[in-house]
Amino acid sequence: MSEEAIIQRLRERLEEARSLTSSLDESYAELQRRLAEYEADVRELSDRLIDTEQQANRLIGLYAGLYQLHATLDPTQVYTAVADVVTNLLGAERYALLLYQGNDRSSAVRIALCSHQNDLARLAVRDRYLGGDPHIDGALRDGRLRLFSERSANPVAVIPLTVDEQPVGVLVVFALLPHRATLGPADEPLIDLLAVHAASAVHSAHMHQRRGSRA
Amino acid sequence: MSVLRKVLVVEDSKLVHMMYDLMLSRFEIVHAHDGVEAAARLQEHQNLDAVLLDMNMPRMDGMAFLRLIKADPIFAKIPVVVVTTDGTEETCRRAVETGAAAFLTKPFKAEAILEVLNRLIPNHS
Repeated sequence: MSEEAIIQRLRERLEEARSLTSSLDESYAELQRRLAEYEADVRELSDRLIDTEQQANRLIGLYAGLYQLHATLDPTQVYTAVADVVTNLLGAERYALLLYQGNDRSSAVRIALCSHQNDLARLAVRDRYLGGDPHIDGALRDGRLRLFSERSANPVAVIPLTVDEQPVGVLVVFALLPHRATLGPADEPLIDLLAVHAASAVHSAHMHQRRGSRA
Repeated sequence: MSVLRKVLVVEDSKLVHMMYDLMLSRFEIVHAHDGVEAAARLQEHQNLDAVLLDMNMPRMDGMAFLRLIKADPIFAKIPVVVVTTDGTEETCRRAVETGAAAFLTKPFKAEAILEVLNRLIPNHS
């Protein structure tokens, strides 16, 4: 083989090698791109898993609260369940459950539960709420939720309890536990649960009691 | 076959007992509703891996039960996690001085309970 032919062959080989290198570079870039995509997918799945676990744990709290509220038809035990939910899920330190004695907003209001008697002492005679707190009175009158984000607010929340638009009463949170952050959007599912299911549980227990006393 | 780790829950709230049952499905839960009942459960279940302890309970409160368990050479090494609504520094300091391995406040997050149990119980995750 002539020198020229050898050089030509070497040039061809060099060109092939360059072409192969270029192709390998493209493959390598493609693999890197795919790896980056997979890593991003793994991060996203990991984040979703954490979100799902947190969501599942929040649902566990709501489910357990709901179960306890409807586990009995004894009014006293229902009040205890409400206190349990308010303390252990909502993080309330001081609270009260005020209930209408009749079926409308003009009927007398009874204090069914009060964790710290001093909170309602000046507004009540025995177990009867006389009125005087503008936020409680407002919620009793119009059935609308009052939420205050300032830690120093008193009350922090007044949660109306209604069943089929029939007023049952209000749940008043006078203060949160000192280490508990103020109420925010994350608490809304729990507040909704309290508003609907505590009302339903109290209403059912009272109906059951009335039926029992008639029989 | 893996053996479930056993946790004694000492707590007077039915709601919290139910939450532990649901959140700690990878553990065997032993239930007690006050310190007196918990002392009885200790005698029945001597292979406990941890205790989740409330503070405010009838008959025997959490601090009295914590002192009792830490004074007993058989049970003193079981890690006790205090989980309470009373998050004051004073209560935390007293619990840790009495031998609590960790201190959590209510309302608690399942992630926090699991993280503490995984840390305190060897070879569990």
